[in-house]
Amino acid sequence: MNGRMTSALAVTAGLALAGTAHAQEDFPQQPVTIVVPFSPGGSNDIVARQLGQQLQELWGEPVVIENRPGGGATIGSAYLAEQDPDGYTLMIASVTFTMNAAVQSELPYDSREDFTPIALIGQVPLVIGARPDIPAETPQELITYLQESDEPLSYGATGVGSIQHFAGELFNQAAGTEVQVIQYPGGAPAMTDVMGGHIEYSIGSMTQMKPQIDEGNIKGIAVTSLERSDAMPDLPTLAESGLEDFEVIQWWAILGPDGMDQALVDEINEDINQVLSSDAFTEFLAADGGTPRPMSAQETADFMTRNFDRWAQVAEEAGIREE
Amino acid sequence: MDVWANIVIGFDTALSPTNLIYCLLGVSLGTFFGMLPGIGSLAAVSMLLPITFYLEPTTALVMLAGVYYGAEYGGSTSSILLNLPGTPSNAVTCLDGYPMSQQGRAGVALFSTTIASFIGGTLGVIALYLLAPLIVRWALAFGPAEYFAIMLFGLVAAATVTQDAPAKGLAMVVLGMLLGTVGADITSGVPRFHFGFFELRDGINFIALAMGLFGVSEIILSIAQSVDKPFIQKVTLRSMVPTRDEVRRSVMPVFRGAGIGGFFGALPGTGPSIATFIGYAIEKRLSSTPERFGKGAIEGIVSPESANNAAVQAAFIPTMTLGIPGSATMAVMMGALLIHGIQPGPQLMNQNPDIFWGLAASFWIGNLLLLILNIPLIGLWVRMLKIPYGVLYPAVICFICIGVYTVRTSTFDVFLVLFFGLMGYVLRLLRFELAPILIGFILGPMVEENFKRAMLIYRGDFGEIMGRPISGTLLAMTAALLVWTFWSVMRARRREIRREARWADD
Repeated sequence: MNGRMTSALAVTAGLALAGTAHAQEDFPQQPVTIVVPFSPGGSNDIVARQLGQQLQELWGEPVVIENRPGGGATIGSAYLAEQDPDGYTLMIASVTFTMNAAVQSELPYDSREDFTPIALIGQVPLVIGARPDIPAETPQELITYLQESDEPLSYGATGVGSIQHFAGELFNQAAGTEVQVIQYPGGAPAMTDVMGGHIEYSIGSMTQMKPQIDEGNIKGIAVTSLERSDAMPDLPTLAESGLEDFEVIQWWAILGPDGMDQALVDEINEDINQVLSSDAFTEFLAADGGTPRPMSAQETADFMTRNFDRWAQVAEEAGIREE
Repeated sequence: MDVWANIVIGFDTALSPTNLIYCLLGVSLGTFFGMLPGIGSLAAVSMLLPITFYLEPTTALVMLAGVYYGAEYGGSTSSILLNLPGTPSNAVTCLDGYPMSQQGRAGVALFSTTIASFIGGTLGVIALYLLAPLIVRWALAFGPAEYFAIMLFGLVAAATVTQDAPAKGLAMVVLGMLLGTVGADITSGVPRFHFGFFELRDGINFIALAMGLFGVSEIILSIAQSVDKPFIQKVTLRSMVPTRDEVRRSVMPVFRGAGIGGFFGALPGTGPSIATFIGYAIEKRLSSTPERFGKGAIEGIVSPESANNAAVQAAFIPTMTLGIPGSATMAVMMGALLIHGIQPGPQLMNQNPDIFWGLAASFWIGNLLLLILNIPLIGLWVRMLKIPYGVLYPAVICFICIGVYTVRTSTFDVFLVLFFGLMGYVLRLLRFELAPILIGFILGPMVEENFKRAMLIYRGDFGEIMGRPISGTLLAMTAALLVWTFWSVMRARRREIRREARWADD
């Protein structure tokens, strides 16, 4: 009964909005599903749920979050590629989506052709977090230490072709170091081994790193975005520390299946951008050091193309592949 | 910080009417889901997670945690009564629980595991209260080398927990390890043994394996043998009380189980399943009458159940103090906190003491509620045996499918259950034991992964692993265990030969 009341209210709200915001065509007419290609509780899931909730308020139709984890996002992505391009099934994708394309040889879909980029959501930098007793405070000191140490040095990442692996190998290239990658089943176990001093550092998500750095369990060295992060303003960027143009960021986007109507894509894009510009969403992302990054659908498509090209090149140069 | 003050803060939060109601709701739902074979704690928590979005963060977690340990409590019921583990970590409880049930002692078995679970859970909560910061520092000392050594020790200790034919048992451990290699290798990214199935790149779903081997095969076996209905059990309170001898034999196993559970629970990445197997293995080794195991030994059910629930409670230590989820279920629970804008981690204890200690207190209250809830219900559960198989088994199959499907939203996994059900059936016909498969499946990949990590960190120098204090000691213990096992086998064989020789002389 409660649920029926809520949806009745939502429908009323939706009608009111529909009258003003969407003169052209009333999307959506039925519940919209956002596929999360990961298990509940991860960053993709949490971002999708926040976005979904605000879109639901805007649209007056339920937005259902559906977790289809597995294969490093490939199972959920393959599922999306098979859906009707009617806008009722969307998916949250992250930078990993463009990295998978560079690393995995047997994907059951064409990452560039089988999807319609709709909107970019936002971005968050990664953080280089080092073991607490490492004899370095700044990026330069860390690089010097890594270059000169006689000990075998290692960093933690979350699987071949993961964002952490790409970031680590880019860092090796830029800093002229040869730190060995150690793969872990997730960011948390990698961080645990940094805390315990078993490996030198890990380049992990700010969400996971920040509390550990604040508590002194891990030493924060730098952020990997071009600009410093408002969430951790004391951390320098690698770009300002001598590694020119060094940028690896986590981003999230909303994709649909291939073949969506352009007007529909633009309509959903506008609605998402409206959510992104709300205070609620900005504050939500800011809590973990993220920022919204509204773009048009075309800009989103171009952004993704640049990512596909870049990661393919990095994978080639650094030899990142399933071997 | 003052322990007493923490207890006061904790119980103040936990005893608020709302939290108390949701705690009761959580443990009841948990027990219910746990009893349904196939729906384990992960599926139950994932299914109920969306409901908690509308609750206060503390209340949400009180409820979800209740579902989690409630499921582990309830899971032993179907292990004992039906030989169908409610959750994978209750699989080992089948070994002695079901024989007890067949002997008409289901009431005693259920009563004992409930008490053992309560003691294990309580000791786990006490560890959480008193030792959390200490345990965390100690857990951090475990790097890849140490994990490799402890998992190897566990594998060797548990591998020989078999009944009559050690070679058959070892073969099953190896089969489990081979099944564990399916999926993408984490170090190289290469997908192994996936036979072209995309779904197998993440490896075999543990729940599908456990439910297929134990659940589906049991059902096929019962149908094939068209077993008679088991005789009706007595369910009076008197019939539930263990004999004095059983109580005496249970005390130490319960406490050892709690210790083992607390240890493995606190180590991120290990969890209750490992704890139950090792608890069982250790009791069998320490017992002066190991031949009773598998035929209804009470030690064989109280130790794993105590370990299970202690591990579940201790698993909150790394999750809440470090922000490091030790298991998939814990990761979902951490997600629940994150959705409410609370970052579990080092600051939680200082910044939100009411949440941290409130949760800890609610865990104990939940355990107490489970005890109160479960004892009177034992009679009801035992009556489940009266349900005709024609009704019960289709329902069980249905629950198994739902539970397995929920974990990864994958129909492929449902077919996997069927496959492992048939495999389990064939293996049981050939008189192979199935529990060692699960041991190999859980521990094998952990040994491999951590060995690879350690060897990469030390650039292939095995001496480094042996030279580290914790891993070195564990490896020495493993070697000693191996030598001892071989020696006792040799001695037994020599005695046999001598006996035969004497017969020949006569």
